[in-house]
Amino acid sequence: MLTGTALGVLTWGGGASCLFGGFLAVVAASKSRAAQDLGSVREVESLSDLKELASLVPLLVAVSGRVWCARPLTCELSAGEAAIVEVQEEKRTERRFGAVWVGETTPLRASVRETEWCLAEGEGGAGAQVPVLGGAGARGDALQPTGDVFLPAQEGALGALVGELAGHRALGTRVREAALAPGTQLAAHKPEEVGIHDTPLRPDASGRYGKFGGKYVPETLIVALTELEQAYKEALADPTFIAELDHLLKTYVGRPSPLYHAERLSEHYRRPDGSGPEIWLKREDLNHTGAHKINNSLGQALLCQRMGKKRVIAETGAGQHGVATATVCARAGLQCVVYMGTKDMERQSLNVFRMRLLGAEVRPVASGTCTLKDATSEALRDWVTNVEGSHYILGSVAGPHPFPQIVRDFQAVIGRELRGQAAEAWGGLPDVLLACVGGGSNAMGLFHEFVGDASVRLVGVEAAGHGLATDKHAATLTLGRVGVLHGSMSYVIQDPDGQIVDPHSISAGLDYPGVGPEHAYLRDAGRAEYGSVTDAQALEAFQLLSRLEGIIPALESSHALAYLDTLCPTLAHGTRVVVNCSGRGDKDVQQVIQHLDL
Amino acid sequence: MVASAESAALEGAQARGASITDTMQALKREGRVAFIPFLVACDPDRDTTVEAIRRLDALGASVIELGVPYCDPVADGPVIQAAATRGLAHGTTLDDVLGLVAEVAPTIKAPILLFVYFNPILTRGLEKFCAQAIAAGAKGLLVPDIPLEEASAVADVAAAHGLELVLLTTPTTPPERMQAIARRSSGFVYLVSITGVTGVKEAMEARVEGLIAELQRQTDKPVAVGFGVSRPDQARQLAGWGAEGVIVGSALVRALGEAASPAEGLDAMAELAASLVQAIQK
Repeated sequence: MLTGTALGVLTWGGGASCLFGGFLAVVAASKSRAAQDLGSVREVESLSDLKELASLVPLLVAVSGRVWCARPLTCELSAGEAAIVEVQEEKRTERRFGAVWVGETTPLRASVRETEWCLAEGEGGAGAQVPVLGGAGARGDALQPTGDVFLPAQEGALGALVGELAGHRALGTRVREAALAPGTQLAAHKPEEVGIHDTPLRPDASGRYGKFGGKYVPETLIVALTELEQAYKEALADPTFIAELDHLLKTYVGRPSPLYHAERLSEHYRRPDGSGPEIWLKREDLNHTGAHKINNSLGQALLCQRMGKKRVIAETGAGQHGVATATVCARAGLQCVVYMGTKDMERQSLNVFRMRLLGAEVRPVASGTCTLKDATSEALRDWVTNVEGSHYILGSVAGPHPFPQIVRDFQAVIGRELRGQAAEAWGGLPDVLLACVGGGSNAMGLFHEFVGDASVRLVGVEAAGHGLATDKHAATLTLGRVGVLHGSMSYVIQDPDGQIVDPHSISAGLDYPGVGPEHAYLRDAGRAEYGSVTDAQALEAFQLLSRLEGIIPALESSHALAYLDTLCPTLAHGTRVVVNCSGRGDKDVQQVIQHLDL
Repeated sequence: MVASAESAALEGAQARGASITDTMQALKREGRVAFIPFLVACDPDRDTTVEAIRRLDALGASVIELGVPYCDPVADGPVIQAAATRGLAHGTTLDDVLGLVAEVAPTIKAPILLFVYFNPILTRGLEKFCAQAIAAGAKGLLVPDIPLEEASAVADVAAAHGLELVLLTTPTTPPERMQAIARRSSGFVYLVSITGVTGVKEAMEARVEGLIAELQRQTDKPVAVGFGVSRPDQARQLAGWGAEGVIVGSALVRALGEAASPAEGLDAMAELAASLVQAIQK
């Protein structure tokens, strides 16, 4: 059984608490999925032997040993130490139906903590050690219960009486805890490849992608996030919601967006011997409002209506998300407030006018760097203040859980369509997917469908601004460090003190110092790779596509296109590359005039 | 020094070096309401902050909440945002703030509660940050952007170093969750009086009275109310509603930081603080 979030060095399969002492490692050079099916299996006596073998063979399939951690966690209920602690808290209530009281359970909290731990050869960390990453996300039952308490509700006599009369009474709170204790004997598996397809849940129950994601927000917002999570779950299970969304994507947005074979662009990248990759464009620029952003805005506006909220808040950088949100709000009759940095309002004055035309109020944000980062902070403050009647339509796969998941899922229509279109066009999968990454929503939308297809190479392109050697860039995954920004843990461009550094990109949509947590996860897992291109390279690509294909791409999408210069020379003849042409460049023309002398 | 002369007069409630819990519990036993002022470190400058903390202490502040300037303070309104921006503009670092605490903490009786956003802590390393904060003389930690879900991990490490982690509950927090927050908060329970960010509000929301009572039914820990409290009449109203502590930030920050000179700022802040202290005396 090969399971678990396959990250880093080793992934824990859980459950298999082996009875034999000592050490066993099974090493194989096969590509099969289960240890039993392996063509060649070798057993080794100790981890020390394994070190040698690891350089010779590609796969380490299973290791067993004793759990050890340098800095164990303390359990909440028991006083014990642990490498992983899982706590679940739920509210128990009873509701009366006629004369019968029926019990109900509502989850209050599900938290998982995991410290750095490893499997060690001997007791107390002795002998060789193999670090295990992402164990908390693995399936299996190796966590042992360490506590189960029931805290009775503290209702006054009057409260209890009122509850009785209303047919509703609180019983109390049940807190359950399970932990993985140091010294536990167990086995860990590393699936072949990176094995992300074995991951049961992305995000996990606590809203995390490995260590990334989570909910780092003021307490006021927690209830709204929980409500959103619940509404989203219910909406997904409701066929009428899905049907309405599909219908509107077709009739209002204009989906499916075409998959276009860019023959002249492919020709441009042919080598002297005539070989080269075939380049295809996923035409998100043909959507209503001119970019992929509307896929998400539309879905979230429908969610907002389901939740009965009448006011929508949004942040915008390039203005595409603002325009898309203003558009769907106009259609749904929702009040719409868009926060936009004053610097971006200048760069994207056309979009400011479009939003106002659509009936939205555009609020200038003049704090900090006056760009997307500050607009997002201001939108969050508005939501904290007006949470009870407002929904925040976040535009990227960033922010606190469940936003990265919701935005990804609404954007995933891009990849889903592509699978069918690729099957129709050439009867197979694409070989390489290429998309620009600011917060990362168009890239996640393209990648998500194919994360489990190990043969599909996922490539994200960040903005290198004036160059990676300068401090004027927005290449978060390339140069950032792990941090918390706008509610989630991910990579962040920051100074040594943890202050966010002013990013730079010619493209307002990529000018953001953070990145979606799932990108951070895919990068660290080795499932996706990320490069970068400069402002100048993006401008070149902007012109190239215009002249060769008659398509003016957005400056954001131009970053993905510019990376073809780096990528194409390394690709085998006939490799099928699909570039997400995430938006059209009409909005950028005013700005580009200042850079180009045509 | 003024501070030490005054501290003798307040013997009992506040022993020098006392923890936040001890300080708050002692006041609670005596039926007195805690006055908890908030300042942004190094606004308008380092020396003024040091002097401001000493004056607040001398005026009878029970706990002093000190904000570490941060570039994206999502829980803060315009006044504190502007103060943080001013603080950062003259190059304030986390080490500067810790140095300031180390200088001022031994000279005052009120324990210092550090108000820090999570990213600077994460960047420094949670362990290292807690070790440095306690070494500097801080007694507690308040991290506005970690909710209950993320709090346990921070609380464990903070507690191991002897730092108390104060948690916040808000008007949107359901009762069961409020109970869980009260259980895990140490020092006191911070009741946010509004759905919103820090700042100056015209009137206290009437539901705050009910929230204080609800919270006190669920915990023995002192309940202190903050966000949106700026004037003596509001502080008096909260004390009347049973609040065991009143936290005032933006109004003091504005008085101190937006004056024509540091000296005038200190006087304006002290005047407001004195009127707040008087308002909550029963």
